[in-house]
Amino acid sequence: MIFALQIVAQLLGFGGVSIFASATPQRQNAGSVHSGDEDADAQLMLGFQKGQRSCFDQLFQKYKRPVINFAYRFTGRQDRAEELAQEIFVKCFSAKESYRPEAKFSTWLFRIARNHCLNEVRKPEYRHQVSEYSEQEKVSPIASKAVTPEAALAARELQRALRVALSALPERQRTALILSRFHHMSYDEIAATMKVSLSAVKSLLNRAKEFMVTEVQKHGVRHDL
Amino acid sequence: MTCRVCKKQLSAYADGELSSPRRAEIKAHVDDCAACKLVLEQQTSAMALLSAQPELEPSPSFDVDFERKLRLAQAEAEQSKQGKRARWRWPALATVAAGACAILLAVTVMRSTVRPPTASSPISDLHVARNLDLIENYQVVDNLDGLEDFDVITGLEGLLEEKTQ
Repeated sequence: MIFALQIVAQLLGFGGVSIFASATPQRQNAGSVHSGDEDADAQLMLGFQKGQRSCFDQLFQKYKRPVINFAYRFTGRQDRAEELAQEIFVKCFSAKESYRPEAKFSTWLFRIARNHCLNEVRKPEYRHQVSEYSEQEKVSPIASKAVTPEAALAARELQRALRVALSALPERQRTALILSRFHHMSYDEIAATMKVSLSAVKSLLNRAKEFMVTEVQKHGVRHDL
Repeated sequence: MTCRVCKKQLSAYADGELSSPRRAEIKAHVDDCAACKLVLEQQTSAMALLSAQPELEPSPSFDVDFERKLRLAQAEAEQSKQGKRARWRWPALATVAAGACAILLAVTVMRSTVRPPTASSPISDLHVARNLDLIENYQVVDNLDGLEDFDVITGLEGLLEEKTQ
């Protein structure tokens, strides 16, 4: 069986994707926040709770990019991502008293982000969003590395297929996958953010990956390239 | 280990989320099973492609826009607080006014129901029986037309005294 993704990736000469890619997850993606900083984040949040606005500003600067990208991945809307992120930070600012230092700051933040984005995608305007907003998306590193027009086109198709697949995932699977792949959370952190069990996270991610493989194959990744 | 069990664990295996013994079991199965190996490779490749999706950078106006939104939200929250206070104030006043009216009404009703003993009460019946004659004469007086029989009226007390003697 020919695996379309691998063919496209190999034709594009994208080194990070191989049929024999390592099973170890690659966790060097930009936009992530490492868990080692969590103590510092908690201290900043406690400072903010005591009235130090500068503490909030530090957290804002640190997390604005991850939150923008979370909103983008979750909703599939590049044009709304910044507004949503700003609204999420406004909520965090207003709900500062609800933060408890026992919980990780990022867990608390992404829980708010998830709930906010969930409310957003329930709006009727999101029903046919994928085809409507596909033209304005940012060019992926894969496409920018493509050396021929055909390869660039294939890369754009692949990018769109991935975005469509991510948007088509059921909400819980999508959240788990985004937090895992783009924010590099451990399964424990995902479970805490989503308020589900560890086994539920395992199951959600397994199903999400199976779905992604199937959907990417379905959505316009060309076999003849 | 069956393929069904293995496939359920593949995601956690790829993400390094399994304990060492479990990880060794999965690895042993995947090394021997072409079908499970293919599934693992497909998932791994798809996830690598997904991770290569572009990241958005905050626009230069992001911070300023956030501050504007924050001020707006704070102003709205303050307005809402004041509105809530006002919403509580009016019902409270209305309740007090309604209570006062109710008390007034109750007092009025109570006063109207507390009347002096009527002619039908046992006390007044006894009183009438004792002074029947006197009342009859008063009734006479009551039926006089104007002051035509003023003499009679003026002598009425004397007549009564005579009668009682």
